[in-house]
Amino acid sequence: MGMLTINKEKNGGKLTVSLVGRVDVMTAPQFDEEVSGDLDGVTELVLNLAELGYMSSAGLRVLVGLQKSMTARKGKLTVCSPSSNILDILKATGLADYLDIQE
Amino acid sequence: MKLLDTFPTNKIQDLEYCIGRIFPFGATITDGGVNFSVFSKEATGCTLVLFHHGQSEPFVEIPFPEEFRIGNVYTMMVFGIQTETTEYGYRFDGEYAPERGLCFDKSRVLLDPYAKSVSGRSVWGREPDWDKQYQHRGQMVYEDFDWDGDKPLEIPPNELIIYEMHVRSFTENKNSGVKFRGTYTGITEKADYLKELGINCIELMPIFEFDEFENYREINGRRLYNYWGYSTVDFFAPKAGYASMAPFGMENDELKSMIRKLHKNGIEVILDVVFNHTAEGNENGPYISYRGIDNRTYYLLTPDGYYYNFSGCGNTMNCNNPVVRNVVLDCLRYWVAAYHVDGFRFDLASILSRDEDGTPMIDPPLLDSIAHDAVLGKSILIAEAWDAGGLYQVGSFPAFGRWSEWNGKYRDCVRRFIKGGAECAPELFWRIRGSNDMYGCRSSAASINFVTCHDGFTLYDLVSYNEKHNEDNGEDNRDGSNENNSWNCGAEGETSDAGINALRFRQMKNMLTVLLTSRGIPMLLSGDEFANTQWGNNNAYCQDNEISWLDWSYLDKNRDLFDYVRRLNAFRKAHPVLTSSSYDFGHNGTGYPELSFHGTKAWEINETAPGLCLAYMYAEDHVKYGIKQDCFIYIAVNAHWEEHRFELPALPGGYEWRLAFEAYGLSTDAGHEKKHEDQSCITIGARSTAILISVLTKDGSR
Repeated sequence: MGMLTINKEKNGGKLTVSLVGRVDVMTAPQFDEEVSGDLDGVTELVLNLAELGYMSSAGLRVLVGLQKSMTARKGKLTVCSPSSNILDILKATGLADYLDIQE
Repeated sequence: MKLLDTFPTNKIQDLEYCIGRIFPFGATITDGGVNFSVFSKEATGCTLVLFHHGQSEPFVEIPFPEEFRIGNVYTMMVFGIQTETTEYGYRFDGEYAPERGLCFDKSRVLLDPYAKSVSGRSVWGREPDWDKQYQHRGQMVYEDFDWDGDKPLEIPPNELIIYEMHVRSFTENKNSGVKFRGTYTGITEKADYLKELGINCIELMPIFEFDEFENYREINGRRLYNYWGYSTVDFFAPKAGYASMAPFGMENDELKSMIRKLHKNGIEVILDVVFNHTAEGNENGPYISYRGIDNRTYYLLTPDGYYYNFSGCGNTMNCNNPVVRNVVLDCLRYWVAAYHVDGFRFDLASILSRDEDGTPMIDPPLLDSIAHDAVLGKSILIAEAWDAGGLYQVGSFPAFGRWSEWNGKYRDCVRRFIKGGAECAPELFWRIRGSNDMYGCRSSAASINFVTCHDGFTLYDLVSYNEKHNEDNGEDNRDGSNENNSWNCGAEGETSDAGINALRFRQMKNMLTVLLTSRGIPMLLSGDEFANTQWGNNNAYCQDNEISWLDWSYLDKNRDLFDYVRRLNAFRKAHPVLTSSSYDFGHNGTGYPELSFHGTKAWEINETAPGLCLAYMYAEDHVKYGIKQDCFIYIAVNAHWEEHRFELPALPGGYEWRLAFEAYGLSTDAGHEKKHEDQSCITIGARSTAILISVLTKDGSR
């Protein structure tokens, strides 16, 4: 079962979120609540995945949801430094075509 | 707001549960819980069995209380399941009396017939733990894929160019150039290639979950699998071993992502579906699902409980039983609704027309239901209109105005004519016209025209082998068809003889030229566009190796052939007169017949006499077809071993003939055709074809 630590840093309209651990069906709700609940005034959301070991189907859904939220508020979502296995997941599920990913 | 039917009433260990919802069948993730619903008519009891992923023993078993059964459906909503790490199955209690077709065995855990994901074979070819009692396990999936506005493309069927492929064969070869070889994503990575080739529909050989280890064996150190997968384990789950992400439980997302990407490139996806039998085989086969859930409902049984074998694979699905009929319909609807699949090709579809005794019906309710179903209303439906029990319905399949058929007669006729079968000429006229002798009261879109498919030789092998060479299959070359209508052009197999090789490439182009200028829906076999070979194996059903895997090095070597096919595809798509679903052949607004046949003399041909030289001309009426100006397309076919001069039909004033394709080595992109020097005739070399197109020059428009 997953453990997830979420570190957030807000700087004006920019929210940087670093994920450490795993996002799976257990931790996805936490990921969603902590980020979605903190989007007021945010125009730029950066998700740093450098220390994320795994992202399950539930996690991908949160990612898509955040992308939609940011688009709705005319903001921008950037995914930074995903590990190669997470990048593979993003590619094979087609999300890489929709997300702004900085490797 | 918490829905009132989601308040638990019972508890076992940490799991709370209550009566569930009947619909939908299967395991459905709901707010806070999972809803289970499963049918059995003759069971006396049912138990839900839950496993942590991969564990031998379940962590909990929940018997369905009698008050949770409505009619013949057991239903339960369970709260607190970790959906991503849990596998589920059922035990059914009931009578064991095989002589009466009753096979209940409470000791076995069975797969839900409506499971949307199946574990157990998630990594292709990984040897399973055979001691594990429950091999194919149901898993729960999310159904909230983000389609980004996608839906089935609904390309008019007559405009399709179908490309048949095997998911793994397409990109498993190291030289495929993709990262995720042999998977759905491998196809996604090849989207640009498919678009460049110009096909607009891929037909995937079976992708319903199957067991590649069914009839697994090793011959001469080679591992032979159930590679093609014409043996279904679960009708609602994609083959997990074809997904790079299946170990993470994301095969559904991966396949949906592939379909979304292909749709964005204007390419439809249709599935080859196998409803005629299942992987449970006959009396000696494994218990996977149906046999232990309701044997007498799901299968056609003899009076003493044995399995009828109209499929040639051990058992026969009881498709016109109302319950099974609904399973088939639910399945098809699911793939259209959840995966945006564009249509289906039904393997051994004639079985679907048999009643519960195996007798063919005049108006089979299943075929009727599929044809008139609301969700399937725009899906293309293609029948392989025969079965292994001797029913052959090509041209007479109960179509209900919807069904198309694989036209085996087209294949045989073109093959035989091109290799020099003069006697086939009279039939070939019908085939080019869209087989109106067979489908005259329907449309040419009823005819799926093809020369090659997965079953039989590849196109290159068709012109390189007289005989099949299936020794690698380990059946002493007895398997596979002997009726190939193939010709090796002078040497069996690979040869260094340049003349023979050149002839082979011409013959391939000749067949492709006829195929892509006939009315009806053309279908290509993947790899034929660059002369892929199976070294004479015409039944590679078990070969998970270089025999089946497309060798992409041929794409570089045979670029000329690829360009020929690519341009033929583009040519077809640019000319609606070729893709018309009608059987209009008479004079149209051009003043010419819409489709006319010619001999070496224009306008002169005896359509009932054998011959090796023929030509046909389409007159494309600009008003009727909504194009800029009238256009004439003349196709000359010389199947003779000597060259012949073909007189060209005279064109209206201002038009001139230009040469677009010539099997000796010319193919052009639209607008780049060269004026043909002699406007009155063309010499067609030995065993060659040519396509000429008219261009209006008078007003200087081109």
